[in-house]
Amino acid sequence: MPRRFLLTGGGTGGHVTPALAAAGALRERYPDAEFRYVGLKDKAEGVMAPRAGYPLSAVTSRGWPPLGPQLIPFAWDLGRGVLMAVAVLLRHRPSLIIATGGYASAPVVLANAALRALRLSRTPLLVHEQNAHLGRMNRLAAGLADLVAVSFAETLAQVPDGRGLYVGYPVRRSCAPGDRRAAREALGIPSRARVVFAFGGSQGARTINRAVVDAARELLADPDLWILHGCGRPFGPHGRSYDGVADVRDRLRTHAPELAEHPRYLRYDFIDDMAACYAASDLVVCRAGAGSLMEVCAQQRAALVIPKANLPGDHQVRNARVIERAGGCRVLYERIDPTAGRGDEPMVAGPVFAAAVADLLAEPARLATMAAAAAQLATTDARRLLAECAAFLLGDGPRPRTAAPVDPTGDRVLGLDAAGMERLLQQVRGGQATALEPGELELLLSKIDGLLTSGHWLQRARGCRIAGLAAYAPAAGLLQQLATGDVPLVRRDAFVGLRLLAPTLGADDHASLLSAIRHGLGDDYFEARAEAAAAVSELAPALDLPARRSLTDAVARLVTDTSFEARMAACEALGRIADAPEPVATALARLHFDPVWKVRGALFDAYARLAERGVLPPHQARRALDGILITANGYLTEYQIRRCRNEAMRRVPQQEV
Amino acid sequence: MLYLLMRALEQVGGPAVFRYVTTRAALAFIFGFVVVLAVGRPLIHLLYRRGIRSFERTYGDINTTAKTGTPIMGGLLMALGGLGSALLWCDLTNPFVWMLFAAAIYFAGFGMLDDWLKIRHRNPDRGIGRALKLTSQLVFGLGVGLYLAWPAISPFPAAVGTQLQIPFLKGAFIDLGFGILIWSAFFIAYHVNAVNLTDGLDGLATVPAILVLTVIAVFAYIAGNVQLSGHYLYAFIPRASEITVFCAAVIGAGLGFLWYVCHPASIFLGDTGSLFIGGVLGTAALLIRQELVCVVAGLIFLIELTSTFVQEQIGFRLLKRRLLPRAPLHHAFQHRGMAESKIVVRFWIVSLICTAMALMTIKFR
Repeated sequence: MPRRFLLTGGGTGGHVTPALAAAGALRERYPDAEFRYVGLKDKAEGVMAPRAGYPLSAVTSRGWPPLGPQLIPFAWDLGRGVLMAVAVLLRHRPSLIIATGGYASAPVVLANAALRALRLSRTPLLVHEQNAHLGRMNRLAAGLADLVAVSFAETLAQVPDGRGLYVGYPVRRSCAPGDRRAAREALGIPSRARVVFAFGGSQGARTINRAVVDAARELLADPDLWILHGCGRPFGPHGRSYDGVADVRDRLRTHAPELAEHPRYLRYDFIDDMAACYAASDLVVCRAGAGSLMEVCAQQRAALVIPKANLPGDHQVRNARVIERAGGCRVLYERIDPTAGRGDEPMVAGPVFAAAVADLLAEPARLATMAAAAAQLATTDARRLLAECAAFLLGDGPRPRTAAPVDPTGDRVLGLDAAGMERLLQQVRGGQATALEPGELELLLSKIDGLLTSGHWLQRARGCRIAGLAAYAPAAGLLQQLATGDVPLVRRDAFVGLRLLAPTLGADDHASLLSAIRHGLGDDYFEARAEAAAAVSELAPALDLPARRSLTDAVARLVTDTSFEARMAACEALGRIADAPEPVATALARLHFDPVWKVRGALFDAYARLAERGVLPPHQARRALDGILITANGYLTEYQIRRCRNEAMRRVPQQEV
Repeated sequence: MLYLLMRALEQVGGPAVFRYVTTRAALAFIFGFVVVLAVGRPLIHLLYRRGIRSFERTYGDINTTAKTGTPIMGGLLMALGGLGSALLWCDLTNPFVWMLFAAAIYFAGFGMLDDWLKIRHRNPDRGIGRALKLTSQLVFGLGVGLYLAWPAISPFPAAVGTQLQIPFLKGAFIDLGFGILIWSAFFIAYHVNAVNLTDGLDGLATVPAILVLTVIAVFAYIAGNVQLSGHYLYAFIPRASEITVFCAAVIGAGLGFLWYVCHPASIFLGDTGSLFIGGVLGTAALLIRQELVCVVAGLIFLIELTSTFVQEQIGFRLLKRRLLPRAPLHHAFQHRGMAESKIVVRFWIVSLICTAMALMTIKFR
């Protein structure tokens, strides 16, 4: 009896391609098998499946909506879809269901689960996840599946015990690397040219299109450089989706009209022969969808990857990081332009893109290493393994044995929210965690601008602290702006950030920083005043004489502050910044009987520092120290036994996080 | 139970002293103290072995490293001593005692669940959710309100159950009617949360709680005594003096707990303890109809709760800034660098003065 396979998955093309690849592999193993695709008529699968020769049974479904009135049409479409899927399952009685995720697969997965629960069906379910992060639909499906095949080893940790299996991503058969010389001849590119091939998937990507157009003039100044650019055309008749062709045309007209006919800038609406473009190129620029990435790996090309930001589970970033850690690509993150105001879309700026491309092309050896590493990643025979998985579920073979090619130890920054990033950076600073790797740091830095321009003040405040902890100097201007903003806690944290950034700033930044600090010393929020004074301490060694003079007067006024934090910070700052005995000595003398001992503690330090620096003569400093009230109502609450224990804990090596 | 046994023995010529509230209160007090003292050490060791330990937490610049690993769920110890002693010396046929037992078990149970969830998730922020906690308190408060207002189940004389006494004014009260339901729900939630917030330093919640319970014990004795209540012009609540015995048992247990919790603490109350204390305090104050006097006696609790509310709701939420250096109030002093023991003793002193003021209202009206 011929096997009957039912494929489902879609909503976007990214879920359809692997399903079709799996079907191809199954057809090789079971030549007489029958196939059927279940999905949405007006989505990617509605076009791609029939074109590939698989009959489509249409169902209805909808993406998970935010809580609200949208839930009603969602429930209606999904409910109808499940009933339609039940009908399909009962009529065709498949021997195996292969689901590749996306909301289009929900009706079949749910219908099959229901039929199995009612003992009306025993059809096994094979789920395939393309990305490094289990999608929402597949997270649900994984609980109902008999086997979950994943494309990245690190995804296994998210799959219920024992059901996960690493098989890799099934790349299309036609994707074997082509001949470079032939491809270049066909495209009219000389053999010694260096070729960048940029594309944003079949539908195009705004970030990549704009980055290419904005960077093209700078890049093409190099006479050996050629650009192949796939703009992408919108899928289907929808007017709402992104139109890459039109976008590129408009942008060229406004930004670089002379490039439209440039001989070394080859622009395509839609690339039919991807293989030729790959073969001709030295460097590929693409999105980090699992399909594009794995295709590039299979083509053995070095890549500059621009993951789409803010996707569910940040899955493109995860995919990209896996390849980057394995040495197969360099990742360039989309960033929000902080000067453009709030709600701006994350983009890659032209000059940044041009620099990254030029940087990579300048080192052919590095490109070769990257290409080799990429090739390593694509060596697993995912198509065969997927077919074996199917055979195992059908009872025709053993459970396939696979080995993960990369060490699945993760990235520490991925998936962290702002609070998590701050904690990690503090641990790094405190020596409890090892320093961030360059890749991790870059990922972290890419998020800071977004936090600083966030609409929520808590995020902005956190962004300020993170920028400081990560020593992200480009944020200094924005921090100065926030330091004079209207939210008190954000002003405080902006000064925290500036204090941490101060040592990394150059002399040119000092003027604007000083005006922000002077403003902060007179802030009406006590914590902002204290932090501004703390920033003065940090900045003191780098300042010139007039700047120190003017700041000394401003800080000296803080010794009469109502908040003890501000008085304490003022003491510390005065010890570092003062150049003459007056007005410092008079100001500090007012604090000799301060009611809070912490202030007097800071006072001791300030006098010692002033004497060390030769600002106060030793006898005067000694006399002042003698006049400070010594009683205190506090002490350090560290007990001997706890100290012993904590000491022992410190000595035992910490596990890597 | 011993009470019932002694009453039975009285019939055949046993001593009659156990009939008296004062005798039994004294015995319950001593007994509660002794039980806690005896059970304390093994229980602390047991909790530690079971991994019921406190977590490291950082509140801005206040780090609790020095407290990490101290066993929590000390409320268990206090509940064990208090309820054990009350079980022996209270008249178990008394409806007020039932209500107090219900409150104690309900809140200690809830607190234990909360503590246990935190331990299980290894995360001090993942106990019972805020909303569920508050709902549980409000529900119990409503229950107490019904007990006060609904004649069919209420042990109070008509109209007394719904009267809100005004301290410092002679015979002044407001009849809340069925508003007592809302008032008692609010009052229970207030006490539970206030005690919970106060419980942040070694012994900080224990002593004020003991003092408030003392005030309640005194007022319960007066309210349950025909002559005294007549003399001091309070509403007579028959059989309410049994609350004195219960309070004495918990006070004894509290002192026993203080033995272990005094700085540096060998055990913490945990949510088990703070919810237990808060629940018992709130319920007992409602049962003797002296809520406002109890708020005066437990002024520390009011200040701690108010400071937190001002800081979080008005400060952080509304104005996006700190209004106080830190909240709850004891953290503000810690932030200034005051030693823990010093803060605790000073809070005790303030608490004692408030207690004196509350007791003063008996005569000074």
